[in-house]
Amino acid sequence: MKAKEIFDQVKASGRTLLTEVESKEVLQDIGIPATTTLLAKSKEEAQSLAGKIGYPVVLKIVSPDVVHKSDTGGVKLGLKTPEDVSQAYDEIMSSTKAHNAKANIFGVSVQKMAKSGTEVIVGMYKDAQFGPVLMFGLGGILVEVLKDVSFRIVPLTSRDAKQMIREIKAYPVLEGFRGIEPANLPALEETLLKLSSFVEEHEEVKEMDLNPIFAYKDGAIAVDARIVLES
Amino acid sequence: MENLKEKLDRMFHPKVVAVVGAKKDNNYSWLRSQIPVKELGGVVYHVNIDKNEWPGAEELGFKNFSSLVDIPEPVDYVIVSVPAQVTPFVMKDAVAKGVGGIHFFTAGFSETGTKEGADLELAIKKMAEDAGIPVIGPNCMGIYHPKVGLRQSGDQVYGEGGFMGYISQSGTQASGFSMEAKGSSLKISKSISFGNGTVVDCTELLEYLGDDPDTKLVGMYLEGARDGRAFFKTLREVVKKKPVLIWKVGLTEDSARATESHTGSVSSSRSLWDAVLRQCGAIAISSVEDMVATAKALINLPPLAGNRAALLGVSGGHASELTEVFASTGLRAPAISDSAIDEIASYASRVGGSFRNPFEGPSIRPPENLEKTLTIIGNDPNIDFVVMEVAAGATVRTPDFIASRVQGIKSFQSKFKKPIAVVLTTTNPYVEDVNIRQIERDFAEDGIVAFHGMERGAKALLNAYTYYAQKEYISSPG
Repeated sequence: MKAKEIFDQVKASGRTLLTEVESKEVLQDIGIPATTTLLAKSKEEAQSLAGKIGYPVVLKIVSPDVVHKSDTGGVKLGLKTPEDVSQAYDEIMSSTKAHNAKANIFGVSVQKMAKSGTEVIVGMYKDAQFGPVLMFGLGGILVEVLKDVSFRIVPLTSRDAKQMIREIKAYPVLEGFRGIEPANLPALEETLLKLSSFVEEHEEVKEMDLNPIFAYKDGAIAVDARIVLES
Repeated sequence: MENLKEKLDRMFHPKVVAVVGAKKDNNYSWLRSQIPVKELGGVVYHVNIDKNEWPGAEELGFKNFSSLVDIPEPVDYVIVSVPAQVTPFVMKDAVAKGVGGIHFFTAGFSETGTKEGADLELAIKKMAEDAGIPVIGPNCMGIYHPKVGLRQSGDQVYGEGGFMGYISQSGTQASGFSMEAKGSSLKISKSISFGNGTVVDCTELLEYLGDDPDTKLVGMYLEGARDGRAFFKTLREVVKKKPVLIWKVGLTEDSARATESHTGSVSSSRSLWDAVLRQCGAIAISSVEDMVATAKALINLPPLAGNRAALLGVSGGHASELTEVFASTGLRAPAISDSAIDEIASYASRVGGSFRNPFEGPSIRPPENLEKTLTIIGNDPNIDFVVMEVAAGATVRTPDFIASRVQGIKSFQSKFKKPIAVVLTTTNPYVEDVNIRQIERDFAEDGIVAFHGMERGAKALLNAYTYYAQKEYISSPG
């Protein structure tokens, strides 16, 4: 589905926050690789989708009322069998309801457990003076504390994309530091550039978070995504 | 606004200027400041509804009118200093008269944070935009154009124009910059203080100075940009044509509050502004002294091909300090080649000095050795530019020695394209109480760039280096 159609559907249902499944569909339309993520509305459907995708899988709660999925027990990783999926489904439902009894639950998302890579984050927000801004940084808690991120105003040139990746202090990690697999920098640059043109063309996008993106030697893939529209 | 460039051209080159609301209370300062316009062939009238203010203006040689519409010829530029509540009436007259452009010195608008102030500003804006009249301000010092005698204050020099354009949200930062520039022999092409920027904002002014053939580089003091995106796009284009130095304030929580109440500016974070300047290739500046020093490095020195300095100190300790300051700024001071060291050793003693880089003592103190050593440095491919420390007190204590330094530098300049600059220090070994600005000007007379202090010099040279290093890729399509 085209991003525009997804946005229209979301707005028609009175929401501004896209689910992870919707957000990744948008990424697919932009041409940014993301883990295939499907929505299961029941336990049986989750098991069947997991079988199609292939184990191991990840289950995550899909609800417009849950912002921090991990914090409320809404994420289960590394599920290897249909029994694992069944148990994870029950746990996610009960934990989510325990945190917010009124949460509107669409179901769970089922996705392939991605091979872990260097965690990178890419974000977009709107500044009061400069409009859409892209942000780049490494994932993980230390980066949040050190605020080691770089910014560029949309639209980005390819030089901007190159520079903003190389500007962060943790850049040596992306080059391959002490046995860490080096990241494919052109893939990250392309993600930034594609996002920049997408944001430029779609004024209704208020915020985007690709967090994390797993960066590998041969590419990069968004493992979680969140998009917010202007109200 | 349509044809803004032509309209601004008319304001900057007025045949007829009208000053509205001059008063005895402040010694008719706005009229007095424009006396040079008359000296340089223009006409200046005084407009005031209060006839009690007429005799004072007439005594100064200005003809009086009650209203702009009474002036019997076209008016190109109007300077308004009346109470805020009166401004709509002046604006109405200005529209009826069809004036070229207006500068509102008057404050008391959106910057006060009151509804009345904001409404008043909006009213002025609407009238100006409907009539297509550019307004500078309100709440600012307007235009300084030395070539035609338009001034922001009576202290500003006039007659001869320079290369540096300046755009300042603040009036005192604009006139302060012109004073600091005058103090260190930097000449201004055009300068504008634009205050609340309600009609003509920093973006339009940047575009104007970007196209101005007299202006070789642009400096800006900013508290905020009304339309950040437009500013970003314009900055990206202007930087391809000439260096733009930007001093942005309001980047801390406390100073953001200050700029909001000063010019009504909304602030973005420091990291975002840093990113914007880097993305566009503008140079970040942190004080008026930094602005002037960097402008001098860009205008008066040849381009820096790299960041490697040869450093000449007045003593061992000073040479070490000089190296510490330059190297921690981000510049380098690499050792010169072994063959160069051997060559210097053939005429200079290794005792009581050093000449690997930094240099001090016998290799540079005797005038003939200075010339030889500078030639070796000039030919060394590992050195991009030269910095010589001069003890300011020596200009009083040992003028002959200073003359030999000037001679050595001039000889270097005639032989090499590499930049050479002086840093003036006031600590040991000579502690005479000297006029540093006068010494800077004396060096400028000799065609030598001198900076006050090692740190200021290092920062200015780093900024110039950054500009030249980025120049090529900034000008390329991306």
